[in-house]
Formats: sequence, C-alpha cells, structure tokens
Amino acid sequence: MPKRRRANPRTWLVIVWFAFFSANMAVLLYLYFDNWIEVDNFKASMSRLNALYAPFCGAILAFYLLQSNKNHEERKRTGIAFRLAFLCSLAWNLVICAFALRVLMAWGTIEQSLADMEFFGSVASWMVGPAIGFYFARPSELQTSRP
Amino acid sequence: MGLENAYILGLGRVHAEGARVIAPQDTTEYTLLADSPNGVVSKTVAVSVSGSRGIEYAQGDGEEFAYRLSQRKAVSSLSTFINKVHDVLQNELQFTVRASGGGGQVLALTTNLSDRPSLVGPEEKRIAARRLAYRVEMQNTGTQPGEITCDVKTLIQYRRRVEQTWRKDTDEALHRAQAAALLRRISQLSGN
Repeated sequence: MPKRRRANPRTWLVIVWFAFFSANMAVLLYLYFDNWIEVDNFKASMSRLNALYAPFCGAILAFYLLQSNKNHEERKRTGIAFRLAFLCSLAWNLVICAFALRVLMAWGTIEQSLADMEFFGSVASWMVGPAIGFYFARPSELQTSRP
Repeated sequence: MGLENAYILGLGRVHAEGARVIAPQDTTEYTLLADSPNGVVSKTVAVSVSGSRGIEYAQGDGEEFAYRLSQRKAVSSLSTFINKVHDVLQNELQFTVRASGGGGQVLALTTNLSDRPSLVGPEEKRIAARRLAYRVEMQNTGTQPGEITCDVKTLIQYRRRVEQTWRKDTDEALHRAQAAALLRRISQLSGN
C-alpha cells in the first residue's frame, strides 16, 4: 500500500497566506460586483489590501520557490519554528479577515475596515514577520528533525 | 432711503431701522431684505458661534445643483415673497437657509444638505441615506411689473451602507419630484 504523501510544512504556510489573501480579495470583488461599493473605493481597497499582504506573501513565496528547488526530504516532522510561524500567520490573517467580513455583513464601512486592517496589520506585523523569518531563514536541517 | 417691507430672513418682518437681539446656537448668516425703488436690496452678516460645528452647504455658487424647474409668478413685493419662501424652507421643510446675491441681481436661497430618510426606498438595500438641498433663485423678469421667475434646483446625495462617502445622485426623476414638490408649495404662496 503506497504511503500517503504529507504536505511540506512550508506548503501549509503558503496555503494559509494565499487562502486568506484570496478570501479577502473575493470579499472586495463581491462587494464591487454586487454594487455595495463603487469603483473608487474598490480600487483603493484592492491597492491597500495588496500593500498589506505584499511583504508577507512576497517573502513566503520567494522562500517557498527558492527552497522547493533544493533536494529536501519532503516528509519531515514540523518543529516549533513551524508551529510558531503557522499560528502567528493564522492569527494575523483571522484578524484581517474579520474586518473584511464586517463589511460583508454591513456592520461597518469599507473605509473604516481598511483603516482598521492597516492598523492591526502593522501593529501585529512584529509578531508575524520574525516568526516567518525565523522559520524560513533557518537552515533546512534545523527546521525539522528526523523521525 | 425709501426702503419698504424690510425682513431679516429667518426672523421675519422688521423696521427699516432698529436693533434685534438674537441668540443662535450655531454659526448663522442673517440677511436683511427690503424693497427699494431700484429693486430688492440685501445685506448679510454672519454671526459666529465659537465651538459650533458649522453647517454643511453645497460648495461653490450653486453649480453643484441641477435639474432646474422654473415658474413665473406675479408678486407685489419681492422681499415679502422671498421671506415667505424662506419660511417654507426653514419652518416647514426644516432646512437651514442662507441667502446670497441681491442688489438687483438674482437673489438665491440655498439650503443645507439635510438627511431625508423618506428618499430611501424600502427596496434599496445598499443605500443607507440620502440628503437633499435646494437652491431657489428669484429675480424680476423685467417684462411686466411685479412678475418674477422662480427657479428651483436640487442637489441630492446618497451614501451606501458600507461606504462613508457621500455621492451625487443622478436620478433625474428623483430630482424632478423634489423640485416639483417645492415649486407646488411655492405656487400656493400668496404674492403679497
């Protein structure tokens, strides 16, 4: 019976970041195409959301592509660095997504939610940035340990 | 000086000379109007109330307003008529009104932008509020004595439920309905 292939821990981080980024973009697209917001606010919010995610998604994607070319052992146990990076990423993205959902539920305005996203995003960036950097920047031998 | 029918808009008829004590709660402009042999003369003074937020009028000299509806009307005193229109706008329709122009030119009454919940239909789920402002321009036609033209223009803005921005409403039917309603009310005013 063939062994099931587990996803690389780095892949999980990429999935978390790009899934939440896509979800937030989907909210904006829905708001625009369903006539909840107008084109000026749509363009401004796309631009601001991109600016918010660019440093993290850019770095994660760069590390992911860079390291995936190396001949790593794919099935590795995740260490504390991965857990830390994963949980910080999840928390950061959940907060950002909550503000997008607030607009979707019409509990707030797009302008206020974007301002809140930028505020909390930048305030919490000290937590996410180092956690991701710590995980990705470590040599691959230290990122995981053998079973 | 030969002034007749003197009014301070918002306060009513006054003597051509004298003093009035007022106590506005917000920064307010007061316009004195009177009929003179050369037409209507007007003078405006602003009373500033420190700490007040001020009133939001449309910017510019009425260019924001659109969808003009006109009516000709015979009046014996233009000042009296303007004062009545001012009363309708201020007391019946609950707007804050300011006057501009005069001195033989067009005299205009411009209202503030006032929230009008009745302008949001129950089927408009995406619209949180609409607000309305009027600009009423009055002048002698110059063709017949006592005949004036009264132009009503409207400015309507809307705000979506998930936006803070107020946007200009271009629904012509909505504008015409509001202008026509005010013009109907003005046409009921006696010309004296």
